[in-house]
Amino acid sequence: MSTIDRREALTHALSLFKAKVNQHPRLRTLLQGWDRDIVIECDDADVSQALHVRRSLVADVSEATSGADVTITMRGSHSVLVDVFEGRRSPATLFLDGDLQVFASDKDQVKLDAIALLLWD
Amino acid sequence: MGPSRSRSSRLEWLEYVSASIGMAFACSGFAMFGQLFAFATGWVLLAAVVTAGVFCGALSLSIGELASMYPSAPGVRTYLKAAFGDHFSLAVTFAMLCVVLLFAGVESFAFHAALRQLFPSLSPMAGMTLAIATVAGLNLAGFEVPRKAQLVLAGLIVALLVAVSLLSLGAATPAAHVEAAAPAGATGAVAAVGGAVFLYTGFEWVTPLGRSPQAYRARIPWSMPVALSVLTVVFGLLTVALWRCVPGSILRDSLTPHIVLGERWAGRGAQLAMIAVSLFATLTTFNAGLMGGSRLLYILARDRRFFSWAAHLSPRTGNPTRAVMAIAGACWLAAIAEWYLNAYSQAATICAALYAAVYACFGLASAALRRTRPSARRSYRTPLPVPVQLALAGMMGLFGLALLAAPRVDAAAVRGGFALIIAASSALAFVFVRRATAPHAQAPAPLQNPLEAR
Repeated sequence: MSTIDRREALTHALSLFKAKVNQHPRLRTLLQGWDRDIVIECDDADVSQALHVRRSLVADVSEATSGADVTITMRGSHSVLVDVFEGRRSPATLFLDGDLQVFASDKDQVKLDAIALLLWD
Repeated sequence: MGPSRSRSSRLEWLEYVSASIGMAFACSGFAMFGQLFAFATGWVLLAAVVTAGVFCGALSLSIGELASMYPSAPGVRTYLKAAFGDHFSLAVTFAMLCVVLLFAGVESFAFHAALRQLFPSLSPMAGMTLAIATVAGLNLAGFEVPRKAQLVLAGLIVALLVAVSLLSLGAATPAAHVEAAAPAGATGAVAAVGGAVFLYTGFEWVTPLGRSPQAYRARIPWSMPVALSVLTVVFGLLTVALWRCVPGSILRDSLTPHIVLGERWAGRGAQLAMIAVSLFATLTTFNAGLMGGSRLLYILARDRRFFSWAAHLSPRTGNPTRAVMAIAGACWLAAIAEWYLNAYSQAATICAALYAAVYACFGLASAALRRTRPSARRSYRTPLPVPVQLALAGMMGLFGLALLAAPRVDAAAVRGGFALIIAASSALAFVFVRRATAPHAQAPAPLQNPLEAR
């Protein structure tokens, strides 16, 4: 798979994720007051995207810009990231196995997991 | 890299160093000094404290390598699972959760002992409940000590301990000592190293705190040996000050020797400074311990390696409320049990022995992964060759065993408690791994909505 294909696949997964989160009424409460820029980085390809959470919604999916001041970075192989955002694999298990890395405060880590838990479990 | 980027990078590294230092300071660590003075005193004890610091420092390089392989991961579970498999790693993780409970009992009582210097009528039950309830409340509210505040607190604790130690050493003629350097003999001297490991425990809790993948190339791995160097100097100075200025008979019975030191040799101001050290130490370490323990329990439940009720989250904050309350409740029960049985010394010794074993496991895991996953990505490699890592791990295990083997009147209770925790953790690991990997558990029914479950 070329870098362009991988970028497209990740963008597609993130767009699906954005739609699911924004349609879920209970996530509004959870995301209240939690405005964050989340960078998603592939560690096996030169692909990185960003999710922007604003006013209890995923407002945008965009290319990550280098040097931007981010508070949350998620990192893993391309297949792991696509699987996580499409709900095929449990982020908790991947995190415990070291296959998914989350650079964030404890509170933000649990918040991310809560989103996954509510969407897919 | 511009000057402001470089300054911010240095500040970030300092925050890691201070987090590592801050996690090691605890009221229970100070309480351990009394135990250490029962094993050895004088230069022998100083050598034991320094040796423990040097061994922890050397092993921290192996932990740094593991952290660079699995950045941001919860150390004990991830590293040991990669090296030794699900069963072993889960058993050690449960044993570490038991350490959190035992530690909470010692910590809350030592905290009460420090607070009683200000409020003499404060009962142990009220003091311990206050400590645990405050920390649980902070956790439930999702409060985290800001990193810059941690940096200031760690700096304050170091400065106050060094100042009081030096002030005490310079203030008066040392007390005459006629005790043998190692009251408990050669085994006691080796056991003192094992006990002294407890002073440094927690330094490795910095490993999941990296802000970016780049932090694991050098900043996180090197923050630990640097923090341990600072801690070795601080604890070394405190050991000498206690030995020279406070009679051993008082030290052996004291849970707050640092406060005794401040009061005896540097007056009321120093006593208050040492009480402040106790409060700061509890705020940072106890809070981190309870928070870390509850997060670990939550994520184990999410991974189906614990009861699913622990995976419940608050609908408003997203906090793992049940895991926090379960850990806080268990900590409170452990604290009451330790108080009722007057088992602080035994609990601290068991914690120290378990921690020595866990550090040995980290050394073994690093060496094992060099063999089993030689080509895995490591952004940092310990400069120590594998045979040295294995030797360090072996020595650390030996220190823990010496601590259990040391002659003491309550040796049976200590060994029994240690064996019970190992047996219970292994049994729990066996049950949960079996349950999670059973054929009918492969495709579990969806959990009850975790944000709504009552």
